[in-house]
Amino acid sequence: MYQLIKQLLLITFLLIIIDRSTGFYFDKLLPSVKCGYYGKINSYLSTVEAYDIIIYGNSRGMHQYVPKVFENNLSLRAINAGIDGAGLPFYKALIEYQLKHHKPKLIIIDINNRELESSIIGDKENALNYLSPFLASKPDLKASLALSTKDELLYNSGLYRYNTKFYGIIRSLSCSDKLQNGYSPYVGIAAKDMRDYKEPESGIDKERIELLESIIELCKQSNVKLLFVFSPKRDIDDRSFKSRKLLNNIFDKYNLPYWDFTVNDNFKAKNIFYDAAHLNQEGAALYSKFLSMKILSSRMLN
Amino acid sequence: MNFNTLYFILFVCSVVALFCTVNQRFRIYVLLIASCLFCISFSFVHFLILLGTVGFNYLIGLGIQSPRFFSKKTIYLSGLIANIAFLAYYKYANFFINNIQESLMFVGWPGHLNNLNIIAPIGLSFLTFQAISYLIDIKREAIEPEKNFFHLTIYFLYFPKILAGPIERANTFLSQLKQPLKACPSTIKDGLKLCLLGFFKKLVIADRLTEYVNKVYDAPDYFSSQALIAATIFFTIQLYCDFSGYCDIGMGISKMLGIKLTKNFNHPFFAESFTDFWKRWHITLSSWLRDYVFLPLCGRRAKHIKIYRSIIIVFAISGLWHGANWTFIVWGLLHGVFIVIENIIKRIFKNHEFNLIPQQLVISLKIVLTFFLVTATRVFFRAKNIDEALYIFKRMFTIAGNFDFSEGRFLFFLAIIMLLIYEITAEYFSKKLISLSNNSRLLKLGFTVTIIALIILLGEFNGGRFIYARF
Repeated sequence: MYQLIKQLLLITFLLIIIDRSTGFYFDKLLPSVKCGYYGKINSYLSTVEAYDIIIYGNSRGMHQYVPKVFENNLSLRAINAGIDGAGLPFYKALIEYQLKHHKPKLIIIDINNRELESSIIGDKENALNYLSPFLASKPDLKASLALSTKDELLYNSGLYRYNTKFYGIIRSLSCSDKLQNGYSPYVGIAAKDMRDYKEPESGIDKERIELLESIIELCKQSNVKLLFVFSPKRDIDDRSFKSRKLLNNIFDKYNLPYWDFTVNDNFKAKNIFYDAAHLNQEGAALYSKFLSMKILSSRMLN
Repeated sequence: MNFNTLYFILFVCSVVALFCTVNQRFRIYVLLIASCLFCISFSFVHFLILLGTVGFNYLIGLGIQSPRFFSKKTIYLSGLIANIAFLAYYKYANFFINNIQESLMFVGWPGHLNNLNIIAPIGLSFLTFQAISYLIDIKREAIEPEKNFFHLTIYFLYFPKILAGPIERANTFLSQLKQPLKACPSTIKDGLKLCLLGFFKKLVIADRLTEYVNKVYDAPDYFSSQALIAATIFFTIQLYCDFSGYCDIGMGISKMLGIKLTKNFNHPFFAESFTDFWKRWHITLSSWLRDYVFLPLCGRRAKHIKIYRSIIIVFAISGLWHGANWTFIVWGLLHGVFIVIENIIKRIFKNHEFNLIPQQLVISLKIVLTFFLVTATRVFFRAKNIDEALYIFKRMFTIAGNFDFSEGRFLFFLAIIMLLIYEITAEYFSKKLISLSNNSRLLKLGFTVTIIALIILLGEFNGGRFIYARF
């Protein structure tokens, strides 16, 4: 039995060495990633102090807000920090990180009418998928994500932190980035749309309500303007869903401005939509111009 | 507490540590308490139900051996019927209700039958089959009824096998409990290796492929022939790695606890026919069906038609056992039909020899053909209903398009390549590998460390339950 324990200890020792060296190697490699999701987060985290307008959101944030249009119309520097399938835990972690380092003039969150539904993608697990490689170099993010003791332990492991993500990182080292200040366009019209646009039977995720409220509190405490926007959808009206009603209540409770373009006459043409829930490149340019002009006319940045 | 959770790993570590440290005569109680705690972790009420089933079979077993108020046959039959009825109630009640409802609607009955709100206790199908074989073996006087209730409880509720088998025979399992249970370093090492292999199959391969399989099968309308064919092949691999991974973990844990469980898989992807496939896939189920259904149905000297009829019945039962859905019954029947066809072909060409084609090529072609036919039947296994299965078949041959692998394709193929390397090595070069690893400690050590590192680096840790745990 003594021999077995000795062997187990040796295996553990070797594993620790492999784990540490894997973590160390990829931690060193990560800052040189210039494209893909990790490239985008990289550039956001390293240039966080340079922007006046920051746009958060999931795929509807990432593909519909053109920072250059905002910059031209508002004469302020803008960045799109939206990520496909991100969600409130992701926004909260980035906003908290942002506010610790720099206070922008305006934070825009593209919010979905169904943002609070538990069935909608964008939970903590998703946020961790994107942010786990950065946890070692940016420990602030760990606190924002409120990791459980188990996760805290697991994410100390270099192998676990880069679980399956190592491939995306290696691949992103040699690709050329087409992002424009974080904006990634949808081109043309989608061949198929697999999303389910019916109201689901699953309920509301209470954790998401808490996260949304904590984001609002954070911005209030830091005196940073926060604007929630419901971007256009084609032939879908999900404003009567339970999640949206709860969102309205929260915005009313905090006396927060929100703009709702879910159903808007300016955005009805089929050729400006990639699919029912996303504008394409042309649509995004139109929408960004429309929104920036509205911000200008509202004088909220004065 | 599923096998692929951190809590389970901690639970097993504690049980093994306790097992090794306590006095030999108390080890049996460690197994008993661990098994009870494992069942309770799912539901206390279900644990009581399972314990009641064990008690019932305990009494029936004793009753068959020494009947008092009723005849031996009455006790035996009532035991069998009660076990089957119990399983039917929990697993098939809603299936029967729905079918009766549909039949009545077909003849114009306007009423509505409500479904029952029931959840089957864990491992009920496996436990019931073990209970049936236990009672039949007592009736056949192949075994003595177990007098020690604790031993019988461990036989039925043993935690490394309760969720999804293997379906152990009472004589092989209980005889091990009668021997002193040894905590031996070499079996602990072997057990750990099996566990690692099982976790690798489940976390790195099965759960990785699940992403693509679920994406395609959840919305087949949106995918092309290529994607549907790829998803079906992936599902076949996923199912194998999921189930055999579970069995490897179970066998590994059991080995560490001094009990040998029956091997349930023998590289089924190298099967040369459907008959061969069932000698390699879920071996304990196929041997159970052979001994307790097939042989009683047709005997050992039956003629062709009777044999074929019995094969079809056995596979229909096998299908129904897998799940309360017509898709499983069709899946089982298809396997039965393929075996019958194989038998007929074998009979026709019994005296023919084909020397023109090299034997190795014939074997390879047989393996490929069997794999693709088995994979085709999996469409019924995975589809939600018969209509969807037929629709998927139709789309498989009519809709051009691409695979839609998206971002994960590197990991899918890496997983499959690793599985192929393992399977080919284990099937064709196992002796060489064993002698090589026996001679090199460093190789063994390197292999173990690499597997663990790969599991952590490539594993999918948010995968769901084991597929067969649902059956």
